[in-house]
Amino acid sequence: MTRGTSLAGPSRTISRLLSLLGLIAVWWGGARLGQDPGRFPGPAPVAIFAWHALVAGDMLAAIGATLGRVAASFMISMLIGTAIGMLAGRSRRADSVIDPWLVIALNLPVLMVVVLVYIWMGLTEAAAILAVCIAKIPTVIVTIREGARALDPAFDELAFCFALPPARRWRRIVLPQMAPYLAAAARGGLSVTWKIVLIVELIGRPDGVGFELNLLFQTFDVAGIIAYGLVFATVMLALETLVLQRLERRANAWR
Amino acid sequence: MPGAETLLVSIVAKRFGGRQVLTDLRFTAVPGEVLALLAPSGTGKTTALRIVLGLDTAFEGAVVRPPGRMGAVFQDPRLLPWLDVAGNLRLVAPGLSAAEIDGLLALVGLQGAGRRLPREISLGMARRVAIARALAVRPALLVLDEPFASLDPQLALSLSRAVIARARAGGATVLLASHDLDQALAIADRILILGGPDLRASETDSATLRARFPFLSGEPC
Repeated sequence: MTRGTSLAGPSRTISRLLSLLGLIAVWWGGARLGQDPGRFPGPAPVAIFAWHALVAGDMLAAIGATLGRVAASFMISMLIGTAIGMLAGRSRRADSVIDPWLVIALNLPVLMVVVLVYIWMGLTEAAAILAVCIAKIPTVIVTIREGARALDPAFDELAFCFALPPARRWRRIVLPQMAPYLAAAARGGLSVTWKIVLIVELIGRPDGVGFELNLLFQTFDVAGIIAYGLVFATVMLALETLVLQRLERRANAWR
Repeated sequence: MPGAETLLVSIVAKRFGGRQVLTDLRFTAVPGEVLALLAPSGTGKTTALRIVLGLDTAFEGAVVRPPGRMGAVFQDPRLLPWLDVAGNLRLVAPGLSAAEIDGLLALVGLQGAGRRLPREISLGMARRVAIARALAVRPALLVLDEPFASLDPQLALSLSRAVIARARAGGATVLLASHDLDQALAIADRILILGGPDLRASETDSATLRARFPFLSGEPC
């Protein structure tokens, strides 16, 4: 009999916890060695800052504002990126028109996009969301285009022969095949979107996590910067794990 | 003068690159009639069926299909792997009741298989589900591409008879591709033999073929 070497669920969780504790220990040790809590605070001052900012400060409001921008730009990017990606993946002619734009868009520096949109549209909420969408949509297009190219033509023929109405064809044939690509675009999209949103807020919004980071930078409050960064990253990680990964598992359950 | 419900096929030529695969293939079929295209593998049967189904439009000629829905059974079953067997039937005919699904599955010998996923059944069973799916739409034109190929001969014969009887009862025009003369004799009214030396088809009826090849066992359906 051969035994596998893969770790069971609980063992894996314990390993991950130990790894995380190890990281905190390294952080703590580094801060002790550095002996400069102002520039490199240990875990304790950061945790204390985070607690106070959450309970009595602006952290919850800032996270709420940022989450709102992430949600709006994420949904707009997914909708537009999916539509264009499907078109490019299904039509060679459309792809030949879209591809050069896509190559340029993928290589635009995010910071340049943000600055230009703010200059052209002013420091407005619409400009902030538009800037994030411009930076994010191309990556959604690329993923969805790959999925559209991989659609099985045999199922298209099946739908044609049985004269399936477009809505049923999309729901029953196209979407199930696209599910892994939609999930990949959504997961990748979320992680990129919130990072771009922070840049947009840092440059030109009066609230949100990015705005708070800007204030903390001006006062060289390193504990505050790390606290805001870690708390918000944890929120986004929880969203991805609890929502997106579950949706992905459900979409792929038949496999 | 053929009626509006007659299948009219006139394929003057079909080429793949410089290679001509079909030449002057013309036939008609009326509702309730079973026409078999008989030929060895690789002689253009599937190409002809794809033209009839409207999947291949790059040919010289014309096809007039009878009004109403088409039912198709491809060489591969083409079941959607994320839908169970009943779901695959409802994909093409959403109004099917549970009893109707049970009846169709019973017809192809798959009673009680409605909840199973395609990966949980064999290739032969999947092909039978594909046949049930084609019948589920009550087709005016039923196109079958080697539908009984992976079944044992006894099951293939009984199943083919049941399926053809059901299709005839619904008034479908049936076009069947096969390389099995025995099977074609058993279920077809007319047989069109493809792939002669000049790629032209020759048509005959089952009785004539039986007279020419008395050792064949096919009985009329």
